[in-house]
Amino acid sequence: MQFNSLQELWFMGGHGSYVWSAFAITATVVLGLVLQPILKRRKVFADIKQRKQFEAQQ
Amino acid sequence: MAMHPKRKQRLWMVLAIVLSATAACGLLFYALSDNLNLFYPPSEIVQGKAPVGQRIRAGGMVKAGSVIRQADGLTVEFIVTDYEADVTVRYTGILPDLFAENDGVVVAGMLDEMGVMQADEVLAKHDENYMPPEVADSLKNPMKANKAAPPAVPAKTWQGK
Amino acid sequence: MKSLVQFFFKLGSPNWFYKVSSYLVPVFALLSIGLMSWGLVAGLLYAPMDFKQGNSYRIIYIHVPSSFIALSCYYMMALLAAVYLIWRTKMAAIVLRSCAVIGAAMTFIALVTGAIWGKPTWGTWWVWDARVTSMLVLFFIYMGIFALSKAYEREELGSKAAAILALVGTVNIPIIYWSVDWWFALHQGATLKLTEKSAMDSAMLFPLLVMIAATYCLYVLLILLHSRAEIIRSEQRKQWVKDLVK
Repeated sequence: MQFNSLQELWFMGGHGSYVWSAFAITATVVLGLVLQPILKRRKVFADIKQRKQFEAQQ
Repeated sequence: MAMHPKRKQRLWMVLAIVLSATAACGLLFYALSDNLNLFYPPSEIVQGKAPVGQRIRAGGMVKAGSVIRQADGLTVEFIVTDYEADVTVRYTGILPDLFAENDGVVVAGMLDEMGVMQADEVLAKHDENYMPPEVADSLKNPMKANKAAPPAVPAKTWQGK
Repeated sequence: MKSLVQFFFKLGSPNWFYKVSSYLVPVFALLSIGLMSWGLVAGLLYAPMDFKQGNSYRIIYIHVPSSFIALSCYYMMALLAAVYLIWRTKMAAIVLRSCAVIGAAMTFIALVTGAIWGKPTWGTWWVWDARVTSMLVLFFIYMGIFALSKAYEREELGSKAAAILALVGTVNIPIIYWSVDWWFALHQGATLKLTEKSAMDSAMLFPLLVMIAATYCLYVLLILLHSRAEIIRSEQRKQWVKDLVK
């Protein structure tokens, strides 16, 4: 382990703000990339279900 | 494999698009090639290839032992070299953390009549070598060298071409 | 040979792709989560700091993998563009659209992490050198391809226009790749080399290789997820999709 304490890991010898902001931005973008298709598929399935129910009523 | 004539025609179309785009960009970049360099090496500046009285960038290595700090603590003078020619640089301001002798640097500013670069920006140009401090120490100090194979010594990485 | 042709023929069927990919999604999700946690712990906690840059070099563990994917994604997209233009395979257009989104995001990550890394090492966030500028051009090409694919009422027209732009944009790839060799640039040369020993200490190199493998797995996972969602969207009037909903 390169760091002796959590503070040291957070501070990273003065470079903490750079390193952690880079990782945070990356994590946000990747999370968005994973969630977007999942939500999109869910929405289309909901639409299809609605249409099916509408057709069944008629 | 036999290909449908229509598809064959489309294949030619694809090739034509790629080739014409490549040719167009190739010519464009050939015409622009000098402007795509971020900086001039000192040897070109000494030969008078860099414009005087216009903001330019110079890049090379900071010559060992050439860094002189003025009494005000902010103005610094050093020599940028490409091991063929030297250019003196004067700069007032904060230097980047990685600025060091024998390391790459890119400076921006104007050449004066004396051929001195009056810089308003200094950027550190680091190389592609990464190693832990202990390994770097052992490279500087062959007596203490451990068994680890030394990584390649930083070459003239400022050289773009 | 014949079975290979058949495999590609089947790949072109959205229905078949959707069914087979449902088995691949969990595999690649587990692989990327596992490898990524390993690489992050190794890179952030265990890799030694750099003799010149200190800890700021740790940004390499996301900057280099995301740049790799930004370029690999383009190779794949250009190939799909050619396939689509010649054979008009519907699946090629669907995966092409997924590539444009993923590639744009990866290029964005590479640019942003590069800027953040540039501040403590170069002394500036941004520099208009050949490497950085050609990466920015790549980002705009990805955005253009995505925009074109959505710009037409008739989906095939949009796919065709996007595929043509993808082919034209291929010129930028060798420029990005060799920009630091062809011109004087601030960006350093490649750290990972195929033919020579890499210029990085092995203790720092190992987490980087793990992160690259992890990012490639993530890339496959994202391609699958985005393509599956896009298949469902564009085939929602087909019976086989309707049958998926109870």
